[in-house]
Amino acid sequence: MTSLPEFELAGGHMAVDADEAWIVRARQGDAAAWEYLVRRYQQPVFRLAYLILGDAGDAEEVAQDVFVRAYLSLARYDKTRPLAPWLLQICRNLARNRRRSLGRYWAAVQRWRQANPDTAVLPDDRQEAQLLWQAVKKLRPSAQEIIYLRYFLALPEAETAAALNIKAGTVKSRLHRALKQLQQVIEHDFPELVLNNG
Amino acid sequence: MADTDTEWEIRIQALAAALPFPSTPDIAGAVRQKAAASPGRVWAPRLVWAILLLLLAAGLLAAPQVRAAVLRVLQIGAVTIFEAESAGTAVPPTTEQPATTLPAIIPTATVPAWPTLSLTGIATEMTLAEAQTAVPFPLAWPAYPEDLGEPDHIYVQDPAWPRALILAWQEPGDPAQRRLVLYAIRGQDYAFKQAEMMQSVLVNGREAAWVSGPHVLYLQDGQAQTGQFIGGNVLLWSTPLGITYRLEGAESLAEAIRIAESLGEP
Repeated sequence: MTSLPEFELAGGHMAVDADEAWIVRARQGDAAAWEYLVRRYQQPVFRLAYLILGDAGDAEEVAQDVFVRAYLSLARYDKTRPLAPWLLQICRNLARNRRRSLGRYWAAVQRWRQANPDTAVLPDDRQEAQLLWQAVKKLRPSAQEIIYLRYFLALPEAETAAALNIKAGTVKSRLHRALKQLQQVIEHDFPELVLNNG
Repeated sequence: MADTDTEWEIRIQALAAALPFPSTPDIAGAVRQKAAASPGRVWAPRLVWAILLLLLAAGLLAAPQVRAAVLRVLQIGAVTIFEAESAGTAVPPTTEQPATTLPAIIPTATVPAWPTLSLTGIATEMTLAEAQTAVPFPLAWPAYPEDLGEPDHIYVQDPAWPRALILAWQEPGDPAQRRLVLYAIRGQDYAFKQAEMMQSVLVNGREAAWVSGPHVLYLQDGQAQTGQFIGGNVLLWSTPLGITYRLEGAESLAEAIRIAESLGEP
């Protein structure tokens, strides 16, 4: 198999035309075409699931389910629309469902994990990134997700809007509110992030 | 947006970009296997193990008097164990009545001498050769006791996405009785237990757990539940390769550790 390009996260663009051709072939039963699309988008899907669930194993299973469900729905999908936001929508829903289904137990395990963090030593910027993630996790799920998509996955506003199924203008206002809330959380609970600012 | 807001956003962007994500696994390969094994069916086998093993604990934890009694949490490889002060007498909820009625948790004094586990319906029995190709990790078994030999039965849970390998030895001369059962589990957060008595021990110098209290093991495939009463005496340990082992049937902690260490560290 020839080397396949991973989806470019930083400043990534939606190669709609290229995806459309592969979707058409996948619909016709071309397994290699679907596998190409999976490999193209597995990284952002996995990473979003990881951000929401906080566990690589859970994220891996959710990511697998995302692509299985997407494949089963491919016949109904509008191939002229970019694939990535649709996959990320499915990912959000599945990850949220998984988190919700564990209910009280999930909260207990997350609290236990936070009290017993991985003690691996990371470079300063990565440690700060981990603290930022912990801060984001204290926000409402909708605020978390828009921050994950826009900043952790570095999606452009248009793709963020599509992944959340909202208008582009709404992304700006929601993001502004989310960042304000995040600022309050950081100032209150993670002052080291403020002290290290500039 | 004000300058300070812009600076704040830039700061968040820079921090977020530095988050160390785990390596992206081979999703495409796994999806190919799943689609071939069960088209149209989407499930999460590891997650339902986790939910159901903890159903009892969650049910107990819901009761205010028990919530405060979770004394300790111990992570051994893929298994998280919650130790509770009192297991009470709650009967765990079920969505489908299993073949045998699930008993309530009973005091240690009345624990059966031998923990039983029915593997019917939760795993596929295989030959040694089939299992060696089915699971993505080395297949090994204890060298002690000396007369143990190869397992009499080998099961793989979910051959389409193998996570657990189960090796079972019968009592010599009594095929109905199991002598030892060894689980080998790959991955993280595979299962959870709630137990009355848990002791932190060492196997090959690594932290392990000895669960000597009674507990209920719930396994699920799709919508069906199978609950199994485990009398206790389970040793859990993990290896540097990321395999978690669970051993049932040893008569004592010392015996269990000796069996476990005879496995080596595959």
